[in-house]
Amino acid sequence: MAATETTAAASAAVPQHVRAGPRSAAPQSGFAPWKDPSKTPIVRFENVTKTFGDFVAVKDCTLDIYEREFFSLLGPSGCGKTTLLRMLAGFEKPTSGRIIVEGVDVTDLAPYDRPNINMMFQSYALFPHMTVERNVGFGLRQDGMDKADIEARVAEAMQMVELTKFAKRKPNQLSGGQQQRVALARAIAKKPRIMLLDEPLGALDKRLRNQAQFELMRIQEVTGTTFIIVTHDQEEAMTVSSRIAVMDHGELVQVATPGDIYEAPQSRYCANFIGEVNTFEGSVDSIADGMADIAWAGGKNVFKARAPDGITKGQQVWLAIRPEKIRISLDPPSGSVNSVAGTVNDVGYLGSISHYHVVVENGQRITALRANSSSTVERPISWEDKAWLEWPAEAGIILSR
Amino acid sequence: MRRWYVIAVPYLWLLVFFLVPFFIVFRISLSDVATAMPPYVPNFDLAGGLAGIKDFFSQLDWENYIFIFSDELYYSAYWSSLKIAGIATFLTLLVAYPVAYGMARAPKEWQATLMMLVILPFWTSFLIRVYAWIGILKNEGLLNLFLTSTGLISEPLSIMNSTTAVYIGIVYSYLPFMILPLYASLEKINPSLLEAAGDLGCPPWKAFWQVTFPLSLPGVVAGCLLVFIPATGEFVIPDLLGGSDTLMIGKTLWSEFFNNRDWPVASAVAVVLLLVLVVPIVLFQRMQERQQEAGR
Repeated sequence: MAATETTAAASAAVPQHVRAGPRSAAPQSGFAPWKDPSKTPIVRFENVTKTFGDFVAVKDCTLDIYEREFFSLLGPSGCGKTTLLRMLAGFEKPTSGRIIVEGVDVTDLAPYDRPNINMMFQSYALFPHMTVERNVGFGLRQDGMDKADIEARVAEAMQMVELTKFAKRKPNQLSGGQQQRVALARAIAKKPRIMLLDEPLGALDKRLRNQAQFELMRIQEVTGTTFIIVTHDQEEAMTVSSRIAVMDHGELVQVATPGDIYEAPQSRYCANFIGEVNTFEGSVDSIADGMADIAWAGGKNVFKARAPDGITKGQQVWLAIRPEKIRISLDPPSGSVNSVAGTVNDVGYLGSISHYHVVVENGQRITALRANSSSTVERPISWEDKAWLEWPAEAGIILSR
Repeated sequence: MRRWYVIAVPYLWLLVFFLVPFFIVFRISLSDVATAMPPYVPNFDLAGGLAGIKDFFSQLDWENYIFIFSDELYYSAYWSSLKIAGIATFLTLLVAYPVAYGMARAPKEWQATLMMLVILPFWTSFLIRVYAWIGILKNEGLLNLFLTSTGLISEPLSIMNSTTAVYIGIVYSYLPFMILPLYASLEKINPSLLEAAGDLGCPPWKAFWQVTFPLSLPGVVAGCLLVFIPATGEFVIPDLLGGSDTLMIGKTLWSEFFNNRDWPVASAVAVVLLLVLVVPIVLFQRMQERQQEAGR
């Protein structure tokens, strides 16, 4: 609790520095306007619901997004993340609720009446009959800007995405990665306050995607725009975001920083969606001094973990432990709080790390990770070995849903 | 070798059903009219040997072409045909565009049915459908009956036997030829392009002219040529619906053949008509090739 207060105090001071220039480092470096009660969000969804016939795409979402955030809407396809984004762009009207952008209720405004918001489409939606240059300048021409001003702005946007030499080409003469950058430049050229990106890197291959992620982060920092991105790729969300909203069946499941979602997921859904996790289903055996004992597999083992608020004795809970926090050894542990024995079922060698799949007493498969820090291991762990898994009490998180 | 066979079939088709008839017509156009069977000379006679062939060719001349170029009637008939076809094509485009747009925007499961409805009139004879318009357009026809009975007009409109009736006939008859290519190009337009235009500050009515219309241009051009080319040589519609003052080359051609029985002049008129239409036909071919190259 004390730790949170310090961060909150620090964040109150930091934004002045942030406002002065581009953010210098990753979002973790103290940029946390959501913790500052004096800040007003740039985008606010108020109890927004959207239904298509019987289907509820977005269910009673309330969400604040702050200036200069790189905000991710993360979830599997059909979870309502794109609908939420499209409502902000103005392509869909909420069935109920309000959307407020910079203090103005935009719920009923058409897309072309929302000049401070621009979107980059999943399909890129480049105009096939226009050159790259004309595509990038399209939005500026709508505003009736001066020809010379348009040219300057187009040149600036194209330079930002390194497209200058493709200015006279048509979209179908470009590669997927180049098209993606045209789409980005076209939205950026209008200098919106809020950029919406619908699966912006979904069509790129993995290597290009990693590159483009850092490209997006750089542009976001240089322009100081608020980015809201829709993605189903948890790694992408973890890499780029200041905060992530995890969605499931139209509902916001958890809204937090990537670190918080990873280290302190609020549900099994979040824990599973972000990274890999092992879950032990059990019941609360006892609670004492903020720690709970969880009886697992009918009381065969008792695991200790920090007790979250609101759990009661006898309640069904799940203990979630990240694979890298589990230590695997061939010798029975001595004095460890939590341990379980099993048989090694599978070993995956990935170079820097190895995965170990261990089948424990009740037949459940548990994954443990081990860094291959030394090249020669005295006693390598192999298939069919009897092994012990152990983890400290603070590694486990008790989830009640 | 197998490739050659595949190519040979359409070329053989063209040779038998286009080039050979064309050369027969062309040869008649160089002949002189005669009261005989067939009604022109010279006739090809193999019995005469090489001298006979020589004699045959020496009798062919360009007389008929000189005649039709010196007579005002043919010139104005060509010009009037092109004008009527041009105006009718534009009117067809105006009617077809909203229909094609509506079809392309209709729910996917409806589109096949709508397409079917557009093609359905082809199941009835063209001639009968044009005849049916007489029943609608004549002074005591359905249209006038409806308009007078609802009190919109007191005197019946005399549309029948006028150029207006020809326009109506052409627009009606060739509408599917305009709708289908328009629909094909409109249907290909990604709806997210219009969303993108809106997002970039372009309201829908401007987006239509900046995005939708330019992208549908291949369909517009194809449709216009598909209507313009046959409409120029149209005979049935001006004959059934048009008045005596409706001058169209198809009608002139018909009366040369069957009223004057002047096959050589009629053939010359037909050959010139073909040459007039070669320009738009080549244009159409070029555009199709370009589109195929673009792969869209």
